[in-house]
Amino acid sequence: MEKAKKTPLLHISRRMDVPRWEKIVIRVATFVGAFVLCALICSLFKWGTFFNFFQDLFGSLVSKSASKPLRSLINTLEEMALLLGISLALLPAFKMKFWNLGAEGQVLMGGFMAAMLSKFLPNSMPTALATVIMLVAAVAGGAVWSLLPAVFKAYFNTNETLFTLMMNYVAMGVITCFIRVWNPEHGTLDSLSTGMLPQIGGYSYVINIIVVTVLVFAMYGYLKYTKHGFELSVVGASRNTAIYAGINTWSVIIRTAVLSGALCGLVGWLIVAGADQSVSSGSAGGRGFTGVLIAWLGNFNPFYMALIAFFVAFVTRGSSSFATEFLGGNSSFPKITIALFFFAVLVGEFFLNYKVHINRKEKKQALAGKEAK
Amino acid sequence: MKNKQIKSFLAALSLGVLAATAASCGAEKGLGPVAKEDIKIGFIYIGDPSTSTYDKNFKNAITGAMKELGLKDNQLFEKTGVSDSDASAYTAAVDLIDSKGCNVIIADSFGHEAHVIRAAKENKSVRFYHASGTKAHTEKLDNFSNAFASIYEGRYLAGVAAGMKLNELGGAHKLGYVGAYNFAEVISGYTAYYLGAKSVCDDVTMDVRYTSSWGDEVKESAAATALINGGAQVISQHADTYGAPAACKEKGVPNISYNVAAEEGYENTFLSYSRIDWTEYFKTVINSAVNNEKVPYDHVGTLANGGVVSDKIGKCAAEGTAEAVATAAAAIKDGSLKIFDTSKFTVSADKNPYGKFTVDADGHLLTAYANVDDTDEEYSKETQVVENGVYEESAKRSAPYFDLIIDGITEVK
Repeated sequence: MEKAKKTPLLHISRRMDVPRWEKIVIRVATFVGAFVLCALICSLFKWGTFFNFFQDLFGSLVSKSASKPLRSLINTLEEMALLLGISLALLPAFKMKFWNLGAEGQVLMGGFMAAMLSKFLPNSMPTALATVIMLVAAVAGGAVWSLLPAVFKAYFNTNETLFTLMMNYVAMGVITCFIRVWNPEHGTLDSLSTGMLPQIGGYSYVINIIVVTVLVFAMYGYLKYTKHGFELSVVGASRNTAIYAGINTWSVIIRTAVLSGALCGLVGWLIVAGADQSVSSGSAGGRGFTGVLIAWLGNFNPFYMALIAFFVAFVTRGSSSFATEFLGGNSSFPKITIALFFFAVLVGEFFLNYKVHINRKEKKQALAGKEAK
Repeated sequence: MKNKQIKSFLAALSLGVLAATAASCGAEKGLGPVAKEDIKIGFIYIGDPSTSTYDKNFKNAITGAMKELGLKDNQLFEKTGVSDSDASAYTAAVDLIDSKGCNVIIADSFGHEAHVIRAAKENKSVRFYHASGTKAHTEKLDNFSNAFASIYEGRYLAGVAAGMKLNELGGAHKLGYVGAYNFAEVISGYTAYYLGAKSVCDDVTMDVRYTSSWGDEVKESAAATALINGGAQVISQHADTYGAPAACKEKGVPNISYNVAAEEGYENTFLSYSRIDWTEYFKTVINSAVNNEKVPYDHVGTLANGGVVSDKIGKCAAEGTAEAVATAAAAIKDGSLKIFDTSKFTVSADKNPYGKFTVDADGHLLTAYANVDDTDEEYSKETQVVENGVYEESAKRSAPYFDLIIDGITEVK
C-alpha cells in the first residue's frame, strides 16, 4: 500500500466571487475589529480605559468651543485630505504599475517651490496672483521630481521604485541646504509673506478640504472615462499589449508619472500655503509613505481610499486625544494604534481575497483510501 | 453601484457644508476670570519630558507650580513631541481647547510661536504663553505673552566658580565652551560666563566650539575633548545632552552644566551649574487667570525673582568659591553689579563682521544695535541697546539678543 502524501494542516485558495453583502460585512467587521484592537491596547497601557478610548475617538470630532464648533471635525478632515490627496496623486502611476514611492520628495519640492516664490515675489503683488504663481510653481516642482525617474523608466527601463525613493532624500537635502543658507538660525524657512490661503467661515483648512474633494471626483473620472485612463491601465497590464495596440508607451509612462508628481506638488502647496505657512525638510511628515498604504488598502478606488484616509486621520487624532488624557500626551501612542489599524485592515483584506482550508484527518484518510483503490 | 457611491459621498459633503454655515455664527468671548478649580492647562512640548532635559525642566516647573497653588494633576493636559517646523503646534493648541476645554495654553519651543499666535487670534478667551519667543510685544494680543529668563545671571555665577578654579589650577587660565549654535541665546550665555570668570581671574581666555545641534551627544563629547586637548582647563556647555560632562569625566576636567546639575555619576568633575526655573512664572500665569490680570508681553525670570538658579557647588570647586558666588549673587540681586557693564570688556570689529556698534579708543562699547523686533524680513539690527555704560540685555524683550564676540573669546571653527 502506498503511503499517503503528507499534506499541510492549512492551505489557502483565492476567492473569486465574493458576494457584495459579504464584502460589506467583512469590511465593517474589519473596522470595528481595528477599533476594538486599539481600545484593548489602551486598556493595556492604562487599565480600565477600554471605553474611554471610544469616547476620545468620537470626541475628537466634536469641539467644545462655542465659537468654533466645527473646528475638531475640520482638523480631522484636513489631516484626511492631505493623506488622501497624496494617495490620489499616486493612483494613476500605481494603476500603470509605475511604483512611485517618491511622493514624500515630490510633495516637499512642491511645497518648497511655493515657499521660495513667496519669499521672492514682491509684496505689492496682489495675493490672488501670488497664490496662482505659487500653485503653478509647486505643481512644476513636483512634476520635475517625478519626470526624472519617468524618463529613465521609459527609455532605459530603470527601476522606478528605487529611483523615486532616492529622489525623496535628494529633496530633503536640497531643502535643508536652502534653509541653512537663507535662515541659518531656524530649521524652517520664514513664514510665508504672501500667498497664504484664507480662512473660510472662520475656519482654516476649508480650501484644502474642498480641493481634495474635487480631486477625488476628477481622478475617478480621469481613470474611468478618459482615453488617458484607459491607456495607462493597458500599459500597466502589459506593455507589449499596449505597443501592439498602437499606444505610445513612452509618452504614456512619462505623462502619467508627471501627472502623479504634479498632483503631489499640488498637495505640497496645500501643506505650505494652506496649513504650515512655512517649509522644512519634514513638511511632508511621512504622509508620502502613508499615502502609498492608503492607495493599496483602498483597492485603488478613490472613494474607498477616502474612507481609509478618513479612518487613519480619525484614529490618529482620537488616540492623540486619548494620550493627552491618560498617557501624558505621549506622541508615540498614535503610531502604535495606527499600526494596529493597518494590521487589522490587512487581515481583513486577506480574508476577503483568500479562503483558508483546514485539512482534516478524515479527508486525508479518504483521499488515501481512494488512492489505494 | 458607482453612482450610489458618488451620491452618498455628495450627500455627506453637503451635510457638512450646511452644518459649517450654520455653525459659523457663534460669538467669540474675550478674557475673563477663571475659578482655580476650572483652570485647565494645555502644555505643548517640543520633545518628550522623559528623555529631554529641556522639556523635563518645564514639566517639573508646571507640576511644581500647580502643586504649590493647590491645583490637581488632572488639570494638566499635555502634548509631547510637537514639531516646531510645521503647523502641529496650532493643531495641538486648538485640540487642547476643543476636546479638553483648556483655558491656558503654554508652548515651550521657539518655532511654535507663529502657530500658537494663530491659535491665540482664533481663541480670544484662552490665555497663551510661549517660552523663548519674540513676537508678543509686536503682535500686541491681549491673550499672548512671551517669557524667557536672564539666564546670563546664572551663567555669570557659574563663571565665577570657573574663574576661582582657574586661579587654583594656575597655568594658562583657559576655559572651553561647547555651544550648540552661534545664536544670540548661546553667545549671550557664554559671554556672561566668561565675564564671571574674568571678574575673579583677569587674564582668562576662552575657546568656543559649536556643534550645530541642540542635542548631539557624540558631537558634544567630541567638541569637549577637542577643547581639552587645546588646553582648556574647565569646560562648560550650552547643549542638551550629557556629552560634554561625560568627556570631562573621562579626562578628569571640571565641568559646569546647564538646565540639569550633572552631579550624580560625575561627582569628581561637577563644578557648578545654572538653570532657568519656570516655577515662579507659571505661578504668575495661573494666578493671572484666576484674578483676570494681564501678564506683561515679556516676562523675564531673574536671579532676584527666582527665575534663574545656580545653587549647587561641586566638591572639586576651589576654596572660597561658595563665598565668592554668594557675594556676586547678592550684588546682581541688588542691582549694584551689571553683568554687561561695557567697561568690563572690549570688542573689536575684526571679530564681529556682522556687528553694528561703535567703540571708544580702548574698545569699550559706546553704542550697539540689536535685532529686537524679529518681525522684519532682513532681521535688521534696529534698536540701540547700550544705555549708561551697560549693554541692556533682555531689557527690550525677554529673549536674549547679545551677539557680539568680545575680546578674550575665540570661536574655533
